[in-house]
Amino acid sequence: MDNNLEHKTIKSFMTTDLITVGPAAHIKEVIRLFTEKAVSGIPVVDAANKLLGVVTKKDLIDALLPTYLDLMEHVDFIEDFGHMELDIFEEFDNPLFIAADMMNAHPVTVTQDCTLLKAAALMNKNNVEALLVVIGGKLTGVFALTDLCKALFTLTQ
Amino acid sequence: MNAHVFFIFSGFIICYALIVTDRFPRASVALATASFFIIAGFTNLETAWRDYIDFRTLALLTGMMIVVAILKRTGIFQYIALKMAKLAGGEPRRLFIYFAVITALLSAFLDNVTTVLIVAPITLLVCETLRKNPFPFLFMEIIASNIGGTATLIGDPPNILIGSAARFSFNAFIANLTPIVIIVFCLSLAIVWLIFKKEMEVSPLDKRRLFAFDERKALKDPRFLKRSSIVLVFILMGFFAHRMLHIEPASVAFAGGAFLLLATGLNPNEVFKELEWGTLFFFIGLFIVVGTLDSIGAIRCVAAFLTVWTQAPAVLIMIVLWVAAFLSTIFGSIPVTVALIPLVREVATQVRFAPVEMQAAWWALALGACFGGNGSIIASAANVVVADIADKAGHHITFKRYISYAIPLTLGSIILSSVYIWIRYLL
Repeated sequence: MDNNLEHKTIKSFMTTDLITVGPAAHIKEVIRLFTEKAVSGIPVVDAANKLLGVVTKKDLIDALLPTYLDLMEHVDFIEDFGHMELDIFEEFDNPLFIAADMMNAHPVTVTQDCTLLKAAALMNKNNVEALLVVIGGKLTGVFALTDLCKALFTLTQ
Repeated sequence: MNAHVFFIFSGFIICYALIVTDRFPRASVALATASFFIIAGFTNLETAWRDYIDFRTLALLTGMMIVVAILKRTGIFQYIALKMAKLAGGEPRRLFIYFAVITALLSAFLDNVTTVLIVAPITLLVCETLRKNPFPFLFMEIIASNIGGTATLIGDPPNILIGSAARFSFNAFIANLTPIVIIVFCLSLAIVWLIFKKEMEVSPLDKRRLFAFDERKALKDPRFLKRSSIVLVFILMGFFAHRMLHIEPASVAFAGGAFLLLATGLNPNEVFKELEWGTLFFFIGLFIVVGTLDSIGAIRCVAAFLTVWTQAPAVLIMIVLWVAAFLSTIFGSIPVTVALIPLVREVATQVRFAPVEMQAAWWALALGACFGGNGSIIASAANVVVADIADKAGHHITFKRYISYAIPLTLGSIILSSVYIWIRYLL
């Protein structure tokens, strides 16, 4: 293999055809995008394409569940969440529940000259499935775990 | 007044003022002040190590933290809380009493923070299932954890400190404090129950939902639970019989933690991660700060000032009780107890307390500091934890609403304690 991984940057492998939402996008819109596109997270950007945050599927789970469940050692004794199940749908019907409410406002960002290995290390360290590629605060691409796999596949052929 | 006295005194004041403002983590403030005293040469590491730091307190705290961190993993406490909810038949008025009792009982043997970390999430879950506002339940649990913790040597940090300073046995705490704790608990429970009684109606359908909880599923690993329970029985026997066996309570706790680690085969590093290192280092910092303050005679001065004003032991003991309660409401019970222990000792020597008066003074300090922990939302760590959990679950407990119920209850408990100490030790 003459391609040296060390000198490959994410630039040629990142996704630039991006799916994004505005901060005021309703949560149902975010959920719809998750069902239609195979992405782990959706970047939240303003009108000038400035990156504000990211909503991941994990954030969606967190929004569904009461926070105090985190504090319990186990939850499998709960057989019936009862009306809490219904409350979720009510909450998701609330027109004021928007992307900005559940996004992570401090996503892991990189520049496009980041090497593959560094990108892998960052994903691993921060326990995320995708890195957001920015130039001067503006979103230019997404480098996801699938992109890393593609890169590795191409380079090792 | 020479320069180093001025610096030590100001260092102490700034340290305690910063603890109240809560701008920085308490442990950092106490450690920084202690380090300042050491670097400036007001004290040195050797003296701090040998004379100021109370290793008995640290060993007892660390030992119990290990024991609790392991027992928590068995799920037994969750099991008990859920069982209680079912026993109450989902009837909120009974549930309220059962949860308060279980909180008080658990906190008598576990630290208060652990107790509320176990009970509060289950309370929120049960309240949401029953569509009830959790405020009355959470409020009562704060009160119950502070009152229940007062009953035993290991229940609350002030008691651990006092037990170590006065060399009281585990049983001495039960014999002297449990009676008044039961009285105060029952009265507080009755009062809070009456206040919130009207809000406690629930539909039969929601009650049924509660019975769908399967508490046995909270118990994960029966073998693990069995081994832990056996060691726990030995630890409790050790506490009850430590005087007879000539072992200190701190040694019982420390050995208990060690054997529990060994018996369960858990990775110690995993368990150690769960210890409250912040609290342990907070103690270390405070011991050095107060020890240094004591070394320049500051505490003797305060004691002398007090005894000029009155020499009557009974009056001095009541002052200890009320001052401890008042200051704990503001500063929190740990820093107040660390500072008041040398003061009580000093006053006792200057006025020559009789042994029974000496005892009464220690119990007064314990009751004042522990019950004072109910006075405000920041007065004890358990209060802050419950407020945080409630906040995250969307049920904000406001400072004003909390103290509007808590201050009268605290005052009542201190009045009852005064009467108790008076009748039992001073008549």
